[in-house]
Amino acid sequence: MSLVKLKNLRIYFEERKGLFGFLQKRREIVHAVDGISFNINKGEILGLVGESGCGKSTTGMGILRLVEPTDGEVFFDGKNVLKMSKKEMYKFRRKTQIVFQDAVSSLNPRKTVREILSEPLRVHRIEKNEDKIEHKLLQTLELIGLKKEDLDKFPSEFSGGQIRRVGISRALILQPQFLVADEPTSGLDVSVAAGILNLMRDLRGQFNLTYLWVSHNLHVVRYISDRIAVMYLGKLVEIAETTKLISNPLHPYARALFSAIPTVDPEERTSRIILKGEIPSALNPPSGCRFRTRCDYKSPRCAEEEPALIEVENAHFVSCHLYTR
Amino acid sequence: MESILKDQLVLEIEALSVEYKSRQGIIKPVDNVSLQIRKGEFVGLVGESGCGKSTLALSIVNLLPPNGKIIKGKILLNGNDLLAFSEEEMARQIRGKKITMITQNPHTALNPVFKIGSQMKEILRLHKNNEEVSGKQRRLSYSQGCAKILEEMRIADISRVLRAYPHQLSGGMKQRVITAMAFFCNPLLLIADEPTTALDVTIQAQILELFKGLVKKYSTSILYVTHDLGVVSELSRKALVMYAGEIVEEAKTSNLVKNPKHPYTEALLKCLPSVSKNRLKAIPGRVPDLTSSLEECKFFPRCSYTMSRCKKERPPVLETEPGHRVRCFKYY
Repeated sequence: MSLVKLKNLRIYFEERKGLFGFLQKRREIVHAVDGISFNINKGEILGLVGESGCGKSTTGMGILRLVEPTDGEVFFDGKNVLKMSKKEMYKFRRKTQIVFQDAVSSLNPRKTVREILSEPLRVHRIEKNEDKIEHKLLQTLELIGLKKEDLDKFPSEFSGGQIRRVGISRALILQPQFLVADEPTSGLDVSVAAGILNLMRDLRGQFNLTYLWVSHNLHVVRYISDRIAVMYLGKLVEIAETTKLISNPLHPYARALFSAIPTVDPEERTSRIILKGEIPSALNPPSGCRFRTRCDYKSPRCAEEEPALIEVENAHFVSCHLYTR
Repeated sequence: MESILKDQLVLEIEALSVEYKSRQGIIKPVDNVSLQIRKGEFVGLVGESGCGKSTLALSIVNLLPPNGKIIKGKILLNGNDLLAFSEEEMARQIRGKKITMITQNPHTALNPVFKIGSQMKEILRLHKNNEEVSGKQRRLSYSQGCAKILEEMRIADISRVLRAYPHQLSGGMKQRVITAMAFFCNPLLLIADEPTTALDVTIQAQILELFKGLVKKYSTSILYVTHDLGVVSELSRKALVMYAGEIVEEAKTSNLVKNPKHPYTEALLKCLPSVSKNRLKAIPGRVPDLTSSLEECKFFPRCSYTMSRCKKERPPVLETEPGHRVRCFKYY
């Protein structure tokens, strides 16, 4: 049962370059997310992977309308998010939350943890009674592995891993149904990241949460996700159940991506596919299939026609002319 | 310096200790560290943040901040005592020539107001009087020299890169330029401090392939500092694990991963999602306060194998099998 549904989501940004950009007649448009469709089922962790600039963070923010989509549809629990009234949005915001990539800058440095965590409760009028608020804060802290003393601290007094936990606490205090986790463990030491991963996993089980896990760290995504969606330059190139995708990536980009992960286990090491060249600019993406400029399997069709996302085997979708009929 | 034969020691660090003066007291980010790197050897130095690995890297080229000081130990490059070198000798003869360094942030290493080409030519100019710059490069013009090394970095549009300012290049490209500059003078030792952490996986793969090729071609020794055990496993023959200023384990990489001896190494491997298919085992507790000078094993508070001895003394290094050294009382 899908909790979140995306249909042809497009998010474009206008860019005016240079000092006198506003005088330019020609606007440059960044096609950050260019026609993405997928579902996220209730209780599932969908990993969204891709390299810098592929549009994965923007997709996460677009679903929550933290960035306003340019076109397409987003459904949450059957309702069209992009057409919601103010009142409906207010309810939507309570049910959906985000753990930001930059935990430090997402927290007000002049507020104590107590103030940061109680703000959502007040805004959404969950509790008015101070004692009840305090109680809820303590409950959440315990859940996340922070201490009572931490309530009176400022963000600058915490370590990297702890700051992430504060961000996660804030996201969870409203007991949302859906969480966008944007690079929750990047930049953290391995041992600290392990703690965060365990925590997120436990919370999902405990509260039947649904996650969109956005990350470029393939080890982590593989470990935590039920299904994985791969993006490249604003497009969805492949989506499947984790074990299927890892053992049998169909799209040439996905294949290169998964083969590129350095791994400790020598048995896991398959021969590495080294991609040529660099990721093209999102201002002027290649025609047809965007990956063709780095693909070893391209054909003339790839420049002319954009491949559609098709189901190659059960619940395994890919967008590549190698598989279009 | 005479040229050295294969298998000869390029770098030898003996009982090195570094202290920083800080408001909290005296911090010892490097505490009695010894290591050896041979010609053409790729050595991985693994550790998490705060373990002292970056300080160790900086002390090799004597680039510690003003409040830092090497208080004891030896650093020998090809048999020569680097600690006896004056600052000028280090700048003229060692840094950028015999020992080069690449860091995580290529943009802090590149001057934003100069084009890449002129920055690269500057290196040739600074070192051109020294015969250590390979004869072939001396014969070519400066531009050709730059183009040639960029070609080795598999950069396609060389003239564009030479004419570009750093901000016009992508992260991966900048890292390739920095790598080119690091290999320019055919160094004995390249210290790479987390060079690919900030890069995407496919770009990281390209850079790592590049390193492999360069090591093969030039027989440069590499000290690769990172927290990523996966990268270390793939590239280095030998790995050292650092914790709270000490080298706690040293072994051939495949042995380290298959058969870790130090409890910290073991715990670190259990944290990796690539290794553990089951629930990850986070390491309880936190990295110790580096200002403490307690006579106990630094990993003691977080270790699951402790004995009473661990709280009373620091374990010395023990060689459990040839090439596998560990600092732990378990093996006594």
